Amino acid sequence: MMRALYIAATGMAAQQLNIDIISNNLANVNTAGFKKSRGDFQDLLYQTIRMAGAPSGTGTQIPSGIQIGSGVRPASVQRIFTSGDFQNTQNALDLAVEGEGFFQVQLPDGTIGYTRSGAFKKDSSGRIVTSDGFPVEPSINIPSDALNTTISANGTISVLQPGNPLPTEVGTIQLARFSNPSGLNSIGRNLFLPTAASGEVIGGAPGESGFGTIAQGFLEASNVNIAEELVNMIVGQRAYEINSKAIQTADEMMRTANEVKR
Amino acid sequence: MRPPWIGKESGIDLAEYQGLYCSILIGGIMNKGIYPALSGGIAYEKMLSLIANNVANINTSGFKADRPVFKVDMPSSSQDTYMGGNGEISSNDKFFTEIDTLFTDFNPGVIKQTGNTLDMAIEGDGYFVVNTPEGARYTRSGNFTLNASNTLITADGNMVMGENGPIILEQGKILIDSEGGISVNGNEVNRVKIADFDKPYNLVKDHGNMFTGSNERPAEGYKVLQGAMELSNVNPVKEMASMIEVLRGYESYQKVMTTLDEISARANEVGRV
Repeated sequence: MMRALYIAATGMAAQQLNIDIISNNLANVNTAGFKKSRGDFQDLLYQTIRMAGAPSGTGTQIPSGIQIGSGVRPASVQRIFTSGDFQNTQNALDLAVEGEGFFQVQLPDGTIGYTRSGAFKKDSSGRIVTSDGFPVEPSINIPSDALNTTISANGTISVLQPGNPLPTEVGTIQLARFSNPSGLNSIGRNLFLPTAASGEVIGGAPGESGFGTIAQGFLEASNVNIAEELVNMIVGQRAYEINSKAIQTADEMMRTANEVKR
Repeated sequence: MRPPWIGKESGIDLAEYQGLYCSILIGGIMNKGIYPALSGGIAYEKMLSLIANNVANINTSGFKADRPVFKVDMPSSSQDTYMGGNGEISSNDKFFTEIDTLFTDFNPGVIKQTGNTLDMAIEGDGYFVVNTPEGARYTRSGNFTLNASNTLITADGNMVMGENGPIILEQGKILIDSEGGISVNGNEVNRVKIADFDKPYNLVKDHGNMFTGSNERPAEGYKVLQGAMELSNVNPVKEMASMIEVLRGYESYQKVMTTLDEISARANEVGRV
Protein backbone atom coordinates (compact mmCIF):
# COMPACT_ATOMS: atom_id res chain seq x y z
CA MET A 1 0.00 0.00 0.00
CA MET A 2 1.10 3.51 -0.59
CA ARG A 3 2.84 5.22 2.30
CA ALA A 4 1.48 8.55 1.11
CA LEU A 5 -2.04 7.58 2.17
CA TYR A 6 -1.06 7.11 5.80
CA ILE A 7 1.28 10.07 5.86
CA ALA A 8 -1.40 12.41 4.55
CA ALA A 9 -3.87 10.88 7.01
CA THR A 10 -1.63 11.95 9.92
CA GLY A 11 -1.66 15.43 8.39
CA MET A 12 -5.46 15.46 8.26
CA ALA A 13 -5.72 14.21 11.85
CA ALA A 14 -3.30 16.91 13.03
CA GLN A 15 -5.23 19.66 11.24
CA GLN A 16 -8.47 18.34 12.67
CA LEU A 17 -6.99 18.67 16.16
CA ASN A 18 -5.79 22.14 15.23
CA ILE A 19 -9.33 23.16 14.22
CA ASP A 20 -10.69 21.59 17.44
CA ILE A 21 -8.31 23.75 19.48
CA ILE A 22 -9.20 26.87 17.50
CA SER A 23 -12.93 26.14 17.94
CA ASN A 24 -12.51 25.85 21.70
CA ASN A 25 -10.63 29.16 21.73
CA LEU A 26 -13.37 30.84 19.72
CA ALA A 27 -16.12 29.31 21.84
CA ASN A 28 -14.48 30.93 24.88
CA VAL A 29 -13.89 34.32 23.32
CA ASN A 30 -16.21 35.86 25.92
CA THR A 31 -15.20 33.73 28.91
CA ALA A 32 -13.61 35.86 31.61
CA GLY A 33 -10.18 34.61 32.62
CA PHE A 34 -9.98 32.12 29.74
CA LYS A 35 -6.51 31.39 28.35
CA LYS A 36 -6.18 30.31 24.75
CA SER A 37 -4.41 27.13 23.65
CA ARG A 38 -2.18 26.46 20.72
CA GLY A 39 -1.39 23.16 19.05
CA ASP A 40 2.31 22.53 18.48
CA PHE A 41 3.15 19.91 15.87
CA GLN A 42 6.24 17.87 15.12
CA ASP A 43 7.37 15.68 12.26
CA LEU A 44 7.29 11.92 12.88
CA LEU A 45 10.07 9.36 12.54
CA TYR A 46 11.99 9.15 9.30
CA GLN A 47 12.54 5.95 7.38
CA THR A 48 16.07 5.91 6.05
CA ILE A 49 16.32 4.32 2.63
CA ARG A 50 19.82 5.53 1.85
CA MET A 51 22.06 6.71 4.62
CA ALA A 52 23.91 9.96 4.10
CA GLY A 53 27.64 9.61 4.74
CA ALA A 54 27.72 5.92 3.86
CA PRO A 55 30.49 4.97 1.46
CA SER A 56 29.28 4.80 -2.13
CA GLY A 57 32.54 3.49 -3.54
CA THR A 58 36.23 3.64 -2.82
CA GLY A 59 36.87 6.92 -1.07
CA THR A 60 33.51 8.43 -1.93
CA GLN A 61 30.51 9.07 0.22
CA ILE A 62 26.82 9.55 -0.36
CA PRO A 63 26.44 13.29 0.27
CA SER A 64 22.79 13.20 1.25
CA GLY A 65 20.65 10.16 1.67
CA ILE A 66 17.00 9.37 1.24
CA GLN A 67 14.83 9.71 4.29
CA ILE A 68 11.11 9.50 3.95
CA GLY A 69 9.15 11.01 6.79
CA SER A 70 6.06 9.39 8.14
CA GLY A 71 3.94 12.44 8.77
CA VAL A 72 3.13 14.67 11.67
CA ARG A 73 2.04 14.34 15.27
CA PRO A 74 0.71 16.80 17.79
CA ALA A 75 3.54 17.50 20.27
CA SER A 76 1.66 19.59 22.77
CA VAL A 77 -1.38 21.74 23.23
CA GLN A 78 0.16 24.67 24.95
CA ARG A 79 -1.91 27.08 26.96
CA ILE A 80 -0.80 30.64 26.42
CA PHE A 81 -0.94 32.64 29.64
CA THR A 82 -0.71 36.11 28.18
CA SER A 83 -2.89 38.63 29.89
CA GLY A 84 -6.36 39.33 28.53
CA ASP A 85 -7.83 42.81 28.21
CA PHE A 86 -9.34 44.36 31.33
CA GLN A 87 -12.99 45.22 31.22
CA ASN A 88 -14.43 47.78 33.55
CA THR A 89 -17.62 46.34 35.07
CA GLN A 90 -18.14 48.69 38.08
CA ASN A 91 -19.19 45.62 40.04
CA ALA A 92 -17.64 45.64 43.55
CA LEU A 93 -16.85 41.93 43.55
CA ASP A 94 -15.38 41.71 40.04
CA LEU A 95 -11.65 41.40 40.48
CA ALA A 96 -8.79 41.18 38.04
CA VAL A 97 -5.13 40.37 38.69
CA GLU A 98 -2.88 42.87 36.97
CA GLY A 99 0.23 40.76 36.51
CA GLU A 100 0.99 37.23 37.61
CA GLY A 101 -1.08 35.19 40.00
CA PHE A 102 -4.19 33.04 40.24
CA PHE A 103 -7.11 33.33 42.63
CA GLN A 104 -7.46 30.29 44.88
CA VAL A 105 -10.81 28.55 45.12
CA GLN A 106 -11.83 25.67 47.35
CA LEU A 107 -13.50 22.90 45.35
CA PRO A 108 -16.27 20.73 46.86
CA ASP A 109 -13.80 17.85 47.38
CA GLY A 110 -11.53 20.07 49.44
CA THR A 111 -8.76 20.55 46.88
CA ILE A 112 -7.71 24.01 45.84
CA GLY A 113 -8.33 25.09 42.28
CA TYR A 114 -6.74 28.12 40.63
CA THR A 115 -8.44 30.61 38.34
CA ARG A 116 -7.84 33.92 36.60
CA SER A 117 -11.55 34.61 36.46
CA GLY A 118 -12.45 37.06 39.21
CA ALA A 119 -16.21 37.29 38.72
CA PHE A 120 -17.02 36.68 42.39
CA LYS A 121 -20.35 36.83 44.18
CA LYS A 122 -21.68 36.58 47.72
CA ASP A 123 -23.56 33.52 48.83
CA SER A 124 -26.39 33.49 51.40
CA SER A 125 -23.96 33.52 54.32
CA GLY A 126 -21.91 36.38 52.89
CA ARG A 127 -18.94 34.30 51.76
CA ILE A 128 -17.16 35.38 48.58
CA VAL A 129 -17.73 32.58 46.04
CA THR A 130 -17.28 31.95 42.32
CA SER A 131 -20.22 31.70 39.92
CA ASP A 132 -20.32 27.99 40.75
CA GLY A 133 -20.56 28.71 44.48
CA PHE A 134 -17.02 27.54 45.29
CA PRO A 135 -15.63 29.70 48.12
CA VAL A 136 -12.49 31.75 47.69
CA GLU A 137 -9.57 30.41 49.72
CA PRO A 138 -8.88 31.68 52.40
CA SER A 139 -12.58 32.11 53.05
CA ILE A 140 -13.76 35.72 53.36
CA ASN A 141 -17.11 36.70 54.86
CA ILE A 142 -18.73 40.00 54.14
CA PRO A 143 -21.10 41.03 56.97
CA SER A 144 -24.72 41.21 55.90
CA ASP A 145 -25.01 44.85 57.01
CA ALA A 146 -22.04 46.00 54.91
CA LEU A 147 -22.84 49.15 53.00
CA ASN A 148 -19.80 49.33 50.82
CA THR A 149 -17.04 46.86 50.00
CA THR A 150 -13.62 48.14 49.01
CA ILE A 151 -10.79 45.91 47.81
CA SER A 152 -7.38 47.49 47.70
CA ALA A 153 -4.62 46.81 45.18
CA ASN A 154 -2.87 44.54 47.71
CA GLY A 155 -6.03 42.49 48.23
CA THR A 156 -7.29 43.87 51.53
CA ILE A 157 -11.08 43.81 51.73
CA SER A 158 -12.69 46.41 53.95
CA VAL A 159 -16.36 47.20 54.49
CA LEU A 160 -18.26 50.17 55.81
CA GLN A 161 -20.87 49.30 58.39
CA PRO A 162 -23.72 51.46 59.69
CA GLY A 163 -22.80 53.49 62.74
CA ASN A 164 -19.08 53.19 62.12
CA PRO A 165 -17.43 55.93 60.07
CA LEU A 166 -14.22 53.93 59.72
CA PRO A 167 -13.92 50.94 57.36
CA THR A 168 -13.47 47.49 58.94
CA GLU A 169 -11.03 45.00 57.45
CA VAL A 170 -12.69 41.61 56.82
CA GLY A 171 -9.97 39.65 54.99
CA THR A 172 -7.28 39.57 52.32
CA ILE A 173 -7.28 37.97 48.90
CA GLN A 174 -4.35 35.56 48.52
CA LEU A 175 -2.82 34.68 45.18
CA ALA A 176 -0.81 31.74 43.89
CA ARG A 177 1.60 31.36 41.05
CA PHE A 178 3.48 28.54 39.32
CA SER A 179 6.84 28.39 37.64
CA ASN A 180 5.28 26.80 34.56
CA PRO A 181 1.62 27.81 34.22
CA SER A 182 1.47 26.04 30.82
CA GLY A 183 1.81 22.78 32.73
CA LEU A 184 -1.40 23.32 34.69
CA ASN A 185 -4.25 20.91 34.22
CA SER A 186 -7.46 22.56 33.00
CA ILE A 187 -10.55 21.08 34.59
CA GLY A 188 -13.13 23.37 33.01
CA ARG A 189 -15.13 26.12 34.79
CA ASN A 190 -12.08 28.38 34.27
CA LEU A 191 -10.23 26.33 36.87
CA PHE A 192 -6.75 24.86 36.83
CA LEU A 193 -5.12 22.25 39.04
CA PRO A 194 -1.38 21.93 39.64
CA THR A 195 0.56 19.03 38.10
CA ALA A 196 4.13 17.78 38.35
CA ALA A 197 4.94 19.86 35.26
CA SER A 198 3.53 23.10 36.61
CA GLY A 199 5.73 23.05 39.69
CA GLU A 200 4.86 23.69 43.31
CA VAL A 201 2.33 26.32 44.27
CA ILE A 202 3.96 29.56 45.34
CA GLY A 203 1.55 31.49 47.55
CA GLY A 204 1.65 35.20 48.29
CA ALA A 205 -0.27 38.40 48.70
CA PRO A 206 -1.06 40.69 45.76
CA GLY A 207 1.67 43.22 45.15
CA GLU A 208 4.38 41.08 46.71
CA SER A 209 7.41 40.32 44.58
CA GLY A 210 6.37 38.44 41.48
CA PHE A 211 2.65 38.86 42.08
CA GLY A 212 0.29 41.22 40.34
CA THR A 213 -2.06 43.62 42.06
CA ILE A 214 -5.84 43.45 42.37
CA ALA A 215 -8.07 45.75 40.36
CA GLN A 216 -11.57 46.06 41.81
CA GLY A 217 -14.48 46.52 39.41
CA PHE A 218 -12.55 44.95 36.54
CA LEU A 219 -12.68 41.54 34.87
CA GLU A 220 -9.94 39.97 32.83
CA ALA A 221 -11.42 39.15 29.44
CA SER A 222 -10.41 36.07 27.48
CA ASN A 223 -7.02 36.44 25.77
CA VAL A 224 -8.41 35.00 22.54
CA ASN A 225 -7.95 37.27 19.55
CA ILE A 226 -10.72 36.59 17.06
CA ALA A 227 -8.81 37.80 14.01
CA GLU A 228 -5.83 35.63 14.87
CA GLU A 229 -8.01 32.56 15.45
CA LEU A 230 -9.83 33.10 12.16
CA VAL A 231 -6.54 33.34 10.30
CA ASN A 232 -5.38 30.14 12.03
CA MET A 233 -8.67 28.52 11.05
CA ILE A 234 -8.15 29.40 7.39
CA VAL A 235 -4.60 28.03 7.52
CA GLY A 236 -5.82 24.86 9.26
CA GLN A 237 -8.63 24.31 6.78
CA ARG A 238 -6.37 24.78 3.76
CA ALA A 239 -3.77 22.48 5.28
CA TYR A 240 -6.49 19.87 5.81
CA GLU A 241 -7.53 20.33 2.19
CA ILE A 242 -4.06 19.89 0.73
CA ASN A 243 -3.58 16.72 2.79
CA SER A 244 -6.82 15.39 1.37
CA LYS A 245 -5.43 16.16 -2.10
CA ALA A 246 -2.41 14.00 -1.32
CA ILE A 247 -4.78 11.18 -0.38
CA GLN A 248 -6.72 11.74 -3.61
CA THR A 249 -3.51 11.61 -5.63
CA ALA A 250 -2.49 8.36 -3.93
CA ASP A 251 -5.95 6.98 -4.58
CA GLU A 252 -5.88 7.90 -8.25
CA MET A 253 -2.41 6.40 -8.61
CA MET A 254 -3.64 3.15 -7.13
CA ARG A 255 -6.57 3.18 -9.54
CA THR A 256 -4.11 3.76 -12.38
CA ALA A 257 -2.01 0.86 -11.12
CA ASN A 258 -5.05 -1.37 -11.03
CA GLU A 259 -5.78 -0.50 -14.65
CA VAL A 260 -2.44 -1.87 -15.82
CA LYS A 261 -3.86 -5.38 -15.75
CA ARG A 262 -7.20 -5.71 -17.50
CA MET B 1 16.59 -21.88 -41.49
CA ARG B 2 13.67 -24.08 -40.73
CA PRO B 3 14.17 -26.57 -37.93
CA PRO B 4 13.79 -30.15 -39.10
CA TRP B 5 10.81 -30.79 -36.84
CA ILE B 6 8.61 -28.28 -38.67
CA GLY B 7 6.38 -29.85 -41.26
CA LYS B 8 3.04 -31.49 -41.95
CA GLU B 9 4.08 -34.62 -40.03
CA SER B 10 4.85 -32.81 -36.78
CA GLY B 11 1.60 -30.80 -36.83
CA ILE B 12 3.47 -27.50 -36.49
CA ASP B 13 3.45 -25.53 -39.72
CA LEU B 14 5.70 -22.73 -40.72
CA ALA B 15 3.23 -19.93 -39.98
CA GLU B 16 2.76 -21.22 -36.48
CA TYR B 17 6.49 -21.42 -36.00
CA GLN B 18 6.96 -17.86 -37.18
CA GLY B 19 4.21 -16.63 -34.90
CA LEU B 20 5.83 -18.38 -32.00
CA TYR B 21 9.13 -16.84 -32.90
CA CYS B 22 7.64 -13.36 -33.19
CA SER B 23 5.91 -13.66 -29.87
CA ILE B 24 9.15 -14.70 -28.24
CA LEU B 25 10.87 -11.78 -29.91
CA ILE B 26 8.23 -9.26 -28.90
CA GLY B 27 8.10 -10.81 -25.48
CA GLY B 28 11.76 -9.97 -25.26
CA ILE B 29 11.07 -6.36 -26.11
CA MET B 30 8.29 -6.26 -23.56
CA ASN B 31 10.63 -7.45 -20.85
CA LYS B 32 12.98 -4.68 -21.73
CA GLY B 33 10.32 -1.99 -21.52
CA ILE B 34 8.06 -2.96 -18.68
CA TYR B 35 10.62 -2.93 -15.87
CA PRO B 36 12.01 0.52 -16.61
CA ALA B 37 8.41 1.79 -16.74
CA LEU B 38 7.73 0.07 -13.44
CA SER B 39 10.83 1.65 -11.87
CA GLY B 40 9.53 5.05 -12.92
CA GLY B 41 6.18 4.33 -11.33
CA ILE B 42 7.80 3.22 -8.07
CA ALA B 43 9.97 6.35 -8.01
CA TYR B 44 6.84 8.46 -8.37
CA GLU B 45 5.19 6.56 -5.50
CA LYS B 46 8.15 7.43 -3.29
CA MET B 47 7.96 11.01 -4.44
CA LEU B 48 4.31 11.13 -3.41
CA SER B 49 5.33 9.92 0.07
CA LEU B 50 7.69 12.86 0.28
CA ILE B 51 5.01 15.29 -0.86
CA ALA B 52 2.58 13.77 1.63
CA ASN B 53 5.12 14.25 4.42
CA ASN B 54 5.65 17.85 3.35
CA VAL B 55 1.96 18.66 3.31
CA ALA B 56 1.36 16.76 6.56
CA ASN B 57 3.88 19.16 8.10
CA ILE B 58 2.55 22.30 6.46
CA ASN B 59 1.66 23.64 9.92
CA THR B 60 4.70 22.31 11.80
CA SER B 61 6.88 25.14 13.03
CA GLY B 62 10.48 25.01 11.85
CA PHE B 63 9.81 22.17 9.39
CA LYS B 64 11.91 22.06 6.23
CA ALA B 65 10.52 20.56 3.03
CA ASP B 66 12.21 17.64 1.26
CA ARG B 67 12.58 17.31 -2.48
CA PRO B 68 13.70 14.29 -4.47
CA VAL B 69 16.49 14.16 -7.03
CA PHE B 70 15.80 11.57 -9.69
CA LYS B 71 18.48 9.66 -11.50
CA VAL B 72 18.51 7.33 -14.44
CA ASP B 73 20.38 4.11 -13.93
CA MET B 74 21.64 1.93 -16.69
CA PRO B 75 22.90 -1.24 -15.02
CA SER B 76 25.79 -2.69 -17.05
CA SER B 77 23.88 -5.94 -17.54
CA SER B 78 21.28 -4.08 -19.58
CA GLN B 79 23.78 -2.54 -21.96
CA ASP B 80 23.26 -4.95 -24.79
CA THR B 81 25.01 -3.19 -27.58
CA TYR B 82 26.82 -0.01 -28.26
CA MET B 83 26.56 1.51 -31.68
CA GLY B 84 29.93 2.77 -32.76
CA GLY B 85 32.76 3.63 -30.49
CA ASN B 86 31.55 7.01 -29.30
CA GLY B 87 29.26 5.70 -26.59
CA GLU B 88 25.99 5.99 -28.48
CA ILE B 89 23.54 3.61 -27.01
CA SER B 90 21.29 1.31 -28.94
CA SER B 91 17.56 1.49 -28.42
CA ASN B 92 17.53 -1.88 -26.76
CA ASP B 93 18.99 -0.50 -23.55
CA LYS B 94 17.05 -0.36 -20.34
CA PHE B 95 16.96 2.75 -18.25
CA PHE B 96 15.79 2.59 -14.70
CA THR B 97 14.49 5.65 -12.89
CA GLU B 98 14.98 5.95 -9.18
CA ILE B 99 15.26 8.57 -6.49
CA ASP B 100 18.95 9.26 -6.10
CA THR B 101 18.98 11.52 -3.07
CA LEU B 102 16.81 13.99 -1.33
CA PHE B 103 17.66 17.50 -0.66
CA THR B 104 16.13 19.41 2.15
CA ASP B 105 15.07 22.92 1.36
CA PHE B 106 16.73 24.93 4.15
CA ASN B 107 15.14 28.21 3.13
CA PRO B 108 13.58 29.96 6.10
CA GLY B 109 9.86 29.70 6.73
CA VAL B 110 7.68 32.71 7.34
CA ILE B 111 8.13 34.23 10.81
CA LYS B 112 4.87 34.68 12.66
CA GLN B 113 4.39 36.95 15.66
CA THR B 114 2.83 35.07 18.54
CA GLY B 115 3.42 37.43 21.45
CA ASN B 116 4.23 34.45 23.64
CA THR B 117 7.23 35.31 25.84
CA LEU B 118 9.09 32.06 25.35
CA ASP B 119 8.59 31.71 21.59
CA MET B 120 11.76 32.42 19.67
CA ALA B 121 12.63 32.57 16.00
CA ILE B 122 15.99 32.90 14.31
CA GLU B 123 16.31 35.41 11.52
CA GLY B 124 19.27 34.36 9.40
CA ASP B 125 21.28 31.15 9.57
CA GLY B 126 21.59 29.04 12.68
CA TYR B 127 19.86 26.49 14.86
CA PHE B 128 18.79 26.20 18.47
CA VAL B 129 20.71 23.46 20.26
CA VAL B 130 18.57 20.90 22.09
CA ASN B 131 19.97 18.38 24.53
CA THR B 132 18.21 15.05 23.96
CA PRO B 133 18.95 11.66 25.56
CA GLU B 134 20.56 10.71 22.22
CA GLY B 135 22.84 13.76 22.18
CA ALA B 136 22.71 17.25 20.74
CA ARG B 137 20.04 18.00 18.18
CA TYR B 138 19.42 21.18 16.21
CA THR B 139 16.12 22.84 15.49
CA ARG B 140 14.63 25.95 13.96
CA SER B 141 11.42 25.48 15.89
CA GLY B 142 11.45 27.89 18.83
CA ASN B 143 8.20 27.22 20.62
CA PHE B 144 9.71 26.66 24.04
CA THR B 145 8.23 26.42 27.48
CA LEU B 146 9.41 25.95 31.05
CA ASN B 147 9.39 22.80 33.13
CA ALA B 148 8.69 22.53 36.85
CA SER B 149 12.31 23.40 37.68
CA ASN B 150 12.17 26.60 35.58
CA THR B 151 14.36 25.19 32.81
CA LEU B 152 13.67 26.15 29.20
CA ILE B 153 12.52 23.05 27.29
CA THR B 154 11.06 22.12 23.91
CA ALA B 155 7.55 20.73 23.48
CA ASP B 156 9.13 17.26 23.90
CA GLY B 157 10.65 18.16 27.25
CA ASN B 158 14.25 18.29 26.01
CA MET B 159 16.43 21.05 27.41
CA VAL B 160 17.30 24.02 25.23
CA MET B 161 20.99 24.83 25.59
CA GLY B 162 22.45 28.22 26.35
CA GLU B 163 26.06 29.35 26.13
CA ASN B 164 26.36 28.49 29.85
CA GLY B 165 24.44 25.23 29.91
CA PRO B 166 20.69 24.76 30.41
CA ILE B 167 18.69 27.96 30.56
CA ILE B 168 17.10 28.45 33.97
CA LEU B 169 14.64 31.30 34.19
CA GLU B 170 13.33 32.50 37.52
CA GLN B 171 10.02 34.31 37.74
CA GLY B 172 10.08 37.79 36.41
CA LYS B 173 10.07 39.83 33.26
CA ILE B 174 11.88 37.79 30.61
CA LEU B 175 13.49 39.72 27.79
CA ILE B 176 15.46 38.18 24.96
CA ASP B 177 17.64 40.50 22.89
CA SER B 178 18.48 40.09 19.23
CA GLU B 179 21.73 38.28 20.04
CA GLY B 180 19.91 35.73 22.18
CA GLY B 181 20.86 37.22 25.55
CA ILE B 182 18.17 36.39 28.08
CA SER B 183 17.56 38.72 30.97
CA VAL B 184 15.16 38.23 33.85
CA ASN B 185 14.14 41.49 35.56
CA GLY B 186 17.04 43.23 33.82
CA ASN B 187 19.80 40.79 34.87
CA GLU B 188 21.30 38.78 32.05
CA VAL B 189 21.15 35.11 33.07
CA ASN B 190 22.23 33.22 29.97
CA ARG B 191 22.46 33.45 26.22
CA VAL B 192 20.64 31.13 23.83
CA LYS B 193 23.17 29.01 22.00
CA ILE B 194 22.80 29.30 18.25
CA ALA B 195 24.88 26.84 16.25
CA ASP B 196 25.51 26.80 12.54
CA PHE B 197 27.22 24.49 10.09
CA ASP B 198 29.22 24.73 6.93
CA LYS B 199 27.17 24.88 3.79
CA PRO B 200 25.82 22.97 2.02
CA TYR B 201 24.18 21.70 5.16
CA ASN B 202 24.93 18.09 5.91
CA LEU B 203 22.09 17.78 8.41
CA VAL B 204 20.02 14.63 8.76
CA LYS B 205 16.42 14.90 9.86
CA ASP B 206 15.44 13.40 13.15
CA HIS B 207 11.85 13.32 14.31
CA GLY B 208 10.43 16.15 16.40
CA ASN B 209 11.50 19.05 14.11
CA MET B 210 15.12 18.25 14.93
CA PHE B 211 18.23 17.63 12.87
CA THR B 212 21.41 15.81 13.71
CA GLY B 213 24.65 17.29 12.50
CA SER B 214 28.33 17.33 13.15
CA ASN B 215 31.04 20.00 13.31
CA GLU B 216 28.81 22.70 14.75
CA ARG B 217 30.25 26.17 15.04
CA PRO B 218 28.84 29.36 16.53
CA ALA B 219 26.43 31.03 14.16
CA GLU B 220 27.12 34.48 12.81
CA GLY B 221 24.94 37.31 11.62
CA TYR B 222 21.72 35.95 13.07
CA LYS B 223 19.00 37.75 14.98
CA VAL B 224 16.86 36.14 17.66
CA LEU B 225 13.28 37.37 17.75
CA GLN B 226 11.29 36.99 20.93
CA GLY B 227 7.55 36.32 20.71
CA ALA B 228 7.81 34.97 17.19
CA MET B 229 7.85 31.54 15.61
CA GLU B 230 9.20 30.24 12.31
CA LEU B 231 6.50 28.43 10.36
CA SER B 232 6.98 25.50 8.02
CA ASN B 233 8.63 26.38 4.70
CA VAL B 234 6.35 24.04 2.75
CA ASN B 235 4.83 25.88 -0.18
CA PRO B 236 1.34 24.53 -0.88
CA VAL B 237 1.33 25.67 -4.53
CA LYS B 238 4.62 23.89 -5.22
CA GLU B 239 3.34 20.74 -3.52
CA MET B 240 0.07 20.81 -5.50
CA ALA B 241 2.02 21.19 -8.74
CA SER B 242 4.31 18.29 -7.71
CA MET B 243 1.26 16.16 -6.93
CA ILE B 244 -0.11 16.80 -10.42
CA GLU B 245 3.29 15.97 -11.89
CA VAL B 246 3.40 12.71 -9.92
CA LEU B 247 -0.09 11.69 -10.89
CA ARG B 248 0.32 12.42 -14.61
CA GLY B 249 3.81 10.94 -14.72
CA TYR B 250 2.57 7.81 -13.02
CA GLU B 251 -0.27 7.64 -15.54
CA SER B 252 2.11 7.84 -18.49
CA TYR B 253 4.21 5.01 -17.09
CA GLN B 254 0.99 3.05 -16.72
CA LYS B 255 0.19 3.81 -20.39
CA VAL B 256 3.61 2.49 -21.38
CA MET B 257 2.98 -0.70 -19.42
CA THR B 258 -0.50 -1.14 -20.89
CA THR B 259 0.83 -0.59 -24.40
CA LEU B 260 3.61 -3.13 -23.89
CA ASP B 261 1.06 -5.52 -22.44
CA GLU B 262 -1.14 -5.04 -25.54
CA ILE B 263 1.80 -5.68 -27.83
CA SER B 264 2.57 -8.96 -26.16
CA ALA B 265 -1.13 -9.88 -26.12
CA ARG B 266 -1.21 -9.33 -29.90
CA ALA B 267 1.95 -11.35 -30.27
CA ASN B 268 0.37 -14.18 -28.35
CA GLU B 269 -2.63 -14.05 -30.69
CA VAL B 270 -0.45 -14.33 -33.82
CA GLY B 271 0.33 -17.94 -33.18
CA ARG B 272 -3.34 -18.82 -32.88
CA VAL B 273 -4.45 -17.66 -36.36
